[in-house]
Amino acid sequence: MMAALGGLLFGCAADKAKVGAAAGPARTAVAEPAVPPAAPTMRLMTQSQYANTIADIFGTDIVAKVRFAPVNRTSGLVAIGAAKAGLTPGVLDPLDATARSMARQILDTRHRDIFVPCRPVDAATRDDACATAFLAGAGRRLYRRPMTQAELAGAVGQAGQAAERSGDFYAGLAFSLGGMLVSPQFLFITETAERSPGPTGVWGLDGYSKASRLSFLLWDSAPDEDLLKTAERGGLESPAALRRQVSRMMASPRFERGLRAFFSDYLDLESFDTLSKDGEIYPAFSIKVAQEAREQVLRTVVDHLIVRKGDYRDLFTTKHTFMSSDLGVIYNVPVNRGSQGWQPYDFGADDPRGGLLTSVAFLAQHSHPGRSSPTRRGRAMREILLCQNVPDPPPDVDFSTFEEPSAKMMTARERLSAHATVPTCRGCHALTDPMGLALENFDGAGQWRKAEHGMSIDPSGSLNKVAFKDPAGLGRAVRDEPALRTCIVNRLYGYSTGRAPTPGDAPLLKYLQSELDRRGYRIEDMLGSIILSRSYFAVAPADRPAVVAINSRGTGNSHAARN
Amino acid sequence: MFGRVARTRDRFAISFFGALAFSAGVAIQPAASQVPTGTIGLVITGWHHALHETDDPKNECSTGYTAGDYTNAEAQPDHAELRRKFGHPYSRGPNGELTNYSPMAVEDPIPPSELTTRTGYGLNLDGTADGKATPRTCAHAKFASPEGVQVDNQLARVVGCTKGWRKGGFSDAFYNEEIYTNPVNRILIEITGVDDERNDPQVEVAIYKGEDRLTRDPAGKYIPFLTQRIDARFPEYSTKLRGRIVDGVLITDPDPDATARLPIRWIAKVAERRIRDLQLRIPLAGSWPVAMLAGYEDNKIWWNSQKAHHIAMPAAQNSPPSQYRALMRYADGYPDPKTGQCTAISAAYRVETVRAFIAHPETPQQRTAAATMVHARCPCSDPAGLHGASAIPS
Repeated sequence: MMAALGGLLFGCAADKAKVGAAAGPARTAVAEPAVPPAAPTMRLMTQSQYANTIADIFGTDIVAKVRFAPVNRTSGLVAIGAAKAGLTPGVLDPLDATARSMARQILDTRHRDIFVPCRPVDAATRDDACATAFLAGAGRRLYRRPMTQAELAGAVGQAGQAAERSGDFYAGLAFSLGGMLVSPQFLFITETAERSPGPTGVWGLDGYSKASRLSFLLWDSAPDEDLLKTAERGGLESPAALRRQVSRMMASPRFERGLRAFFSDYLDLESFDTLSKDGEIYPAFSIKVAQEAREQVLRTVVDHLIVRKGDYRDLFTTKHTFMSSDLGVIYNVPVNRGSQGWQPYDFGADDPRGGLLTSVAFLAQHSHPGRSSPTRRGRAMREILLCQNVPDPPPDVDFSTFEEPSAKMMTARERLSAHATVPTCRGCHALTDPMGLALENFDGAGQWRKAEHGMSIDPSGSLNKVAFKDPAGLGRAVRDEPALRTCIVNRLYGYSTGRAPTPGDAPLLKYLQSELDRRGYRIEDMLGSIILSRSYFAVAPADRPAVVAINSRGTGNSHAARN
Repeated sequence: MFGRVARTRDRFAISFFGALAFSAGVAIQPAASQVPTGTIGLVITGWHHALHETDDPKNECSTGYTAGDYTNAEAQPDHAELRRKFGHPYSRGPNGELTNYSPMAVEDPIPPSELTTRTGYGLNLDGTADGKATPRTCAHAKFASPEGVQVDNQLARVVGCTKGWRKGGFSDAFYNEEIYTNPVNRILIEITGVDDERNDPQVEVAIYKGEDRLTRDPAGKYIPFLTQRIDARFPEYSTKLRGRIVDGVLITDPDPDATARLPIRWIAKVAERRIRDLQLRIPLAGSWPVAMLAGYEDNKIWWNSQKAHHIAMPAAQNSPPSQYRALMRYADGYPDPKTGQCTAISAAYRVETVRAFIAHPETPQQRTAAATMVHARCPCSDPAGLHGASAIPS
């Protein structure tokens, strides 16, 4: 991984030449354009980030059972919606209860000696020195920066008062720690801007904010001690040190977790928590199947991108996946792993299955409870994978033609053909249906079928004038569709910054895409190119014009110091 | 990787054309590229005594249901005294013997009800039309099936008037729920060498004990095409038969030398069945084919599985003294050369099955190769992928 990242953008001419040669005639690399920096963000932690952070700091035996309220998906990502999310009393109450419970666990007799670096002089009352030692350390990890003097003094004071009242030093610590675990400093990932020293100083994220941005992107969790220390000594200002940290983080097993979190958000896999099918129509599709369908996608993604170091685009054509026993029923394949196991599985070359589009997860998720939906599937491909917007249907649409099978229109293709005669439908359905109809060989649960109501299914279709005749053709067309590349870069950028890319970001995103077009869309290259871009950590304070961060040559801001 | 999958597919029992041709109710169809390999896998999901039952039991048992253990106990003249001395209603022997462990120590005061119908289900196990004695059978009365075929099923005479073993009865319901809940009862049938599911003059049939759970849909029907692994720990529960397929029905050949041992867990007690000359009739059509499984059950082994349930016997409205005597009286197979007493009894069961993928145990080499492969791939603390989500070490 270190070697792979060593060849990332802006630093390895030899590697560029090699990749260029392999890909055909080398294209000349262009300089990264400068873009106007955006304001720092403040994001509510996601449920998985909360759980991962607690597990990373305090261990997996600390039970952190809490369910976060759903966050509005904004610009295709929950991560962006989290920047606009707040905490209502109804949400805060269970968080508070969980925080108090966790604090008690952390300071119970089994754990206190692990986390508290000192022994109180008298365990029956306050000991501010020992409390300071513990709370400063815990606060640094929880707040992802050193606590301010005022914060620390407040926390120690609370611990002391509670210890005096309860007659228990550790109960006092638990009281104070519980407050920290439900504080805005912990629950909200808050970015802070700072200006580099000197008269020409420019604005960018401070080191701790950079560390958090990296850590929540790559690990779906708060920074570890190594990253915090690097940030503390200004190590993330140096491109070489930044590369080292990114390489280290990508080499960690926690990177799988970060990748899972991104793809869960990007592919809207949270919706599987509530996905259900009509048991009369799809008896084999259980809650367990739904959960395992989601897990299958994530395992496939992790295997393809991390283990095999594959190109992101090939996720839409790969024949390799993983299979569980319950999924085997839907796919109609044997799985020799028992009820809890997973088995690597390759679909045959002539099997219509292959790639994420023919996964049970995608097919079932974008269907009705009791039938398939070429329109929903087509819309999902457009909106989720290609970042294109398909308008909602007009409010006065009569759906009866499409929802009730008639003797004349046995297949979805026939029913949907009626759209061609309705002007208000025609435009949008021309975007969705030619793609979605290619998946009609899979029913609403994702099971293979040759016919619908006795009529043979025609899975041909087209995507932006690229015609195909079957699901495999659709997979190839999506794989080669330029918008797929634009979209993944766009989403990764938005996911990691917590804000929707603006028109001002367009030159950078276009540049990143052109670089990745040359190198291929491997995950380390995609993430590395974004993280190591000059503009990634650039921010403009909300009360200052964005141009402050652009120097006179228009080629950068604080990142100029790195190059 | 492709090599491994190819091997995997070769090893698995996969067949679909039967399901395609006859499936009803559930639209399970194969992926286009999955080529039938001439193997049919089935897993048993229901097991009932093959009884000819009507709504009114007096149609089959002229005196109604057999009186159970408790009813017989209360009818015993010395009931109160026995209860006072031994403290248990089923300690009905003169020295307090429990009825299920010492059935011959007690004579039921109420005569047992027995089948009076001549109609019954089963297979013609002895090959005779009249049930006359042969070198390996004792003389017995045959049933006539509804189709008019003379069949053997003497065990029906033993349990046919016992309410608990009739359709919906306590024992029947309990056992069938335990087929679902406990893999001890997982019995797999694998038919290989199938060239044509409608008619094939020669196929091989193997019976195994499985180790995996079953899955039911919200309506309670079993989900087909779940993978069922053979439980390699119990090779003694494997049986090989030969047979043929005639008009879509598997018919195995009689083999007097074939003794099938099958595991059974019933009301939390683990035992086994031992069935000699096991024969199968399995319609391969339909999603939930009802099959007939018949043979000669060993008297002692059968009684062992019954007598363990001294609590359940009364709930099943069964009385061990009468049942044991009936077992010995109606036993019709494999006479003891010295005493002439038949040591086995013809039995027929109606079993329900669904299609399944039957997975054979991996060889040590395959297991090692798979583990190595997965471990090499998975950068997590769960290299074997045994859990739903990878656990990441902190």
